[in-house]
Amino acid sequence: MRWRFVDFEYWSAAMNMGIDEAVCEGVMKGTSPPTIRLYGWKPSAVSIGAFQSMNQEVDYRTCVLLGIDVVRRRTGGGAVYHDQHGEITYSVICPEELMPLDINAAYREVCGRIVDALAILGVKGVFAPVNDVLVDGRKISGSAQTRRNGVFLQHGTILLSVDRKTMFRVLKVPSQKLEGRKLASPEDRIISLKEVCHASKEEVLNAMKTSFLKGRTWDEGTWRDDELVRAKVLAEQRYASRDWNFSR
Amino acid sequence: MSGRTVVRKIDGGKLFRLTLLPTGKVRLHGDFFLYPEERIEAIEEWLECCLTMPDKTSAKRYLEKEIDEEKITILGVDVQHLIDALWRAKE
Repeated sequence: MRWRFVDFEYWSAAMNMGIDEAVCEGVMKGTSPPTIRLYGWKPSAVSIGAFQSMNQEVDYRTCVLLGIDVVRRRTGGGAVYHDQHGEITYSVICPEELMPLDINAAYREVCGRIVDALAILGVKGVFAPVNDVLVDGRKISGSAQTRRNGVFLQHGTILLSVDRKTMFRVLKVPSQKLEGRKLASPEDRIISLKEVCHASKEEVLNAMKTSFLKGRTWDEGTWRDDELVRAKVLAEQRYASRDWNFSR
Repeated sequence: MSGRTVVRKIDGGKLFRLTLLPTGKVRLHGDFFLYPEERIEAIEEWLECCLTMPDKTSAKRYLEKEIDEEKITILGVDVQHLIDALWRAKE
């Protein structure tokens, strides 16, 4: 099966989630190929997991003040600050049968590609189940996975640089998150590529592309018109709506 | 959200917040994974049923049975954690 690779592009938070879901629908119907995409968030955004409460996890007023988008993902996992300049996000969307049936094994497969991308850049990353990649014991990449209607989706991030001040102004990190970790503060839990190597964004994108496409037949691609139309509908009606984002 | 909330970070797992509302409703939040995602409300309803059970053992058995029959997968948190938190919230 041939994969489509869609190179790095910026979208709003709602559109990023809309595109992921629209492609999932297309894969389910057989109108979209298995897809790997790299993207950023413009403006910067906070995404929360499907089972989180916006009010518990996010300082929404500060987000509004700073012009930062908020969105609820349809995948589980935690709240993430997606800095416009400091992060690359990826999505892998394909028929379920192209991924290991076991959820943990599928995380290992996809997060293993992040570990391999880091290795290309000379950085030693380690997969830390359930869904993280660590460098020097600190999180550099987090991911979230779902499967619906026979379609697999995993999206995740890799930190290029980190604006800790903004990150921890907009995220409310409960003190319990640090339990069991020998770290003084939430700021210590994360690390970015800028802190461990001198790779440019272009080099990181190339490493991710190389790693994610290794062993796969693929074509460089872009979005079909129907995918974009559907993504916009999903973005407007669900992912930009208060009802969805504040639903729990 | 009023009510009694128990926050628990699982060692090597995820963080969850279980809130027992004065109405007897249970709300579950956190950074865990659950498949299929839309079954979160069923889990909350089953936890409400657990409140009527005499002890943690029978509540755990009931919740495990429902989750198993509905083919729900939870990652990062397990049934025992949820039942322990529920009992702490209702104390």
